[in-house]
Amino acid sequence: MKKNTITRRQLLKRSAFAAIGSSLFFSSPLRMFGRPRNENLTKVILVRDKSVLENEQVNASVLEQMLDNALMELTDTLDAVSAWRKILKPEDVLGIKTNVWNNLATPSQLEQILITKAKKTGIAENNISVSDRGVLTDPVFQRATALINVRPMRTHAWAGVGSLLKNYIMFSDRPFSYHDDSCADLAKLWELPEVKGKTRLNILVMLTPLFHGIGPHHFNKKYTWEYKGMIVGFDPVAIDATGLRIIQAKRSEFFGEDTPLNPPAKHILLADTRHHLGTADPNKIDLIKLGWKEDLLI
Amino acid sequence: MKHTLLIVFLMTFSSSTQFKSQSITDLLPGSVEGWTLYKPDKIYTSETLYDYIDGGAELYLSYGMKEVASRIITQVDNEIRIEIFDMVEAKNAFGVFTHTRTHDEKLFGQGSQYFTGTQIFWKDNYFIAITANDENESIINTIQCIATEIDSRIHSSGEIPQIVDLIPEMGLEADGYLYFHHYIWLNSYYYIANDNFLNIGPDTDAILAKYHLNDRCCFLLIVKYSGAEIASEAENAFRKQFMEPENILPYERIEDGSWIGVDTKEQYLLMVLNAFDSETVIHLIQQAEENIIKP
Repeated sequence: MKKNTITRRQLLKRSAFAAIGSSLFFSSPLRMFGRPRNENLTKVILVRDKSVLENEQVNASVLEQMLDNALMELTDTLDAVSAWRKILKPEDVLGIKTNVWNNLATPSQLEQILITKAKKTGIAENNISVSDRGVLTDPVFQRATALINVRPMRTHAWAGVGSLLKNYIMFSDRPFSYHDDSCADLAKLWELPEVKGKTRLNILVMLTPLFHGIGPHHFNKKYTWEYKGMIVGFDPVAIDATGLRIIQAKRSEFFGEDTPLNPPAKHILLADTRHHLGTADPNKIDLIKLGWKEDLLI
Repeated sequence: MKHTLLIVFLMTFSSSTQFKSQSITDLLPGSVEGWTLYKPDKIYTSETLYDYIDGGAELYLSYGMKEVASRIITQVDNEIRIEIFDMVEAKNAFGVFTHTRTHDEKLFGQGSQYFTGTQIFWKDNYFIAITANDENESIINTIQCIATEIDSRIHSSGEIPQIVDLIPEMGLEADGYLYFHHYIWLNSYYYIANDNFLNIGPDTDAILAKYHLNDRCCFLLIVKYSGAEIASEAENAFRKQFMEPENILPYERIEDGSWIGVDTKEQYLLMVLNAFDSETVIHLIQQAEENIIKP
């Protein structure tokens, strides 16, 4: 595949991509203009609830309600059961790809909610598994017909951000082979046979995102904040692009000036423009905001 | 006289040999009162660093890391992680430091900064990070004691890359520069391009500096290539990607209203981005060129 140079000047010249560029590469938050909802747009749900965290602990029932609301909106259904039936089938074998990074893991409460919802949809317990680093050897994942991709949003020392696209790196038996050019081609992971066509739902956890990294292990609690949200949808590129805009807005707010991610999370743009996995263009995303609106940053 | 010189030579040689033959674990501090060793010290190499640092290994690998010694000490619920990275050459340790620090507090080694719960510093070919999982006065004191001891165990110092001396001072943001030789860090302050179109690699030295001039933040990139011809090729690559073909001037105004510029001097490429006007471009390039030809 030919890899073209994408410079700042080109992004500025090509008006069609200027918006994406300004959103993903440049650090200024994109200026969004009101526009009517369009069926052709990619639907992305941002759901927040002020009470989902109490003394830094996740309130599972609030989290469940947030997810229900997001999925009803995403699937145009009136109740959560119907929403889940549009996503999973009783005969599915379900792998829930979580993330166990010790500083900011997928909340166990959310994993449990997903297991419960899958069971309620009719999937047998022995056909459900939650895993991160063991996905290649997990017997359920090995015969999975459906995947749910769920992980927290964080900055990353080499890829810019660790988000949904990067969460599938453990499906490769050579994860480091995707590190070239600061993980530019992470979208190729989605072509692996273990993954291709199986992802039914993507959830980017934004309860306490990490917006800046310090030190060898790239974590300091000072650089997390209680955003108390989740971004949910079918298109991982659109969700990652939306999460990235929030991270960039937070960085600008926190540092008092445009502070680009270092390195930039270009793999999200390239997932769109090079690999056509989804859309990173905010103008093609129908971002629906549910719940708590304070300090939305987007 | 001969004897004196020999003694000085032997002292210097033996001191240097003694230091270089030191194992990296010898630089780890002795026991820390009130803290216990969590598990035996470990050394990770460039091959095993991914096992140790989940998601951050590439920074150190991009600066040529050879190995890192890791020690974890604990006290009740608190944990302090002590890491000494052998970066092979002082310029690499310095580069990692410039990548991480926002300002140099100069308290330890040849440059240091304390962040919440994290002390970093560099000295000679070593980059050191001491990280606690929490922060209070006692932990800060412990971290600083550890830093002091490691600092005293490293007996030599390294040279700051010569390219740093080429940065013009006027308008330079305090400690606002990054030294690197892997192209990924080209975009550290400002997105320039997604790939290595300037051919930056292990044999090139590059420095990206941040300026505040005319109420605007602008950037100067200086890259030192192995020869003038390669620098010219890089200039042509920049012109091809960033400037109109018919423009023969060293500067140009681009779509967002900012000014960019490029020139070469000997084996150096000089690039200015996001400037307020063409005068700023010319000023920065000229200042850097004067620094290059300074004896």
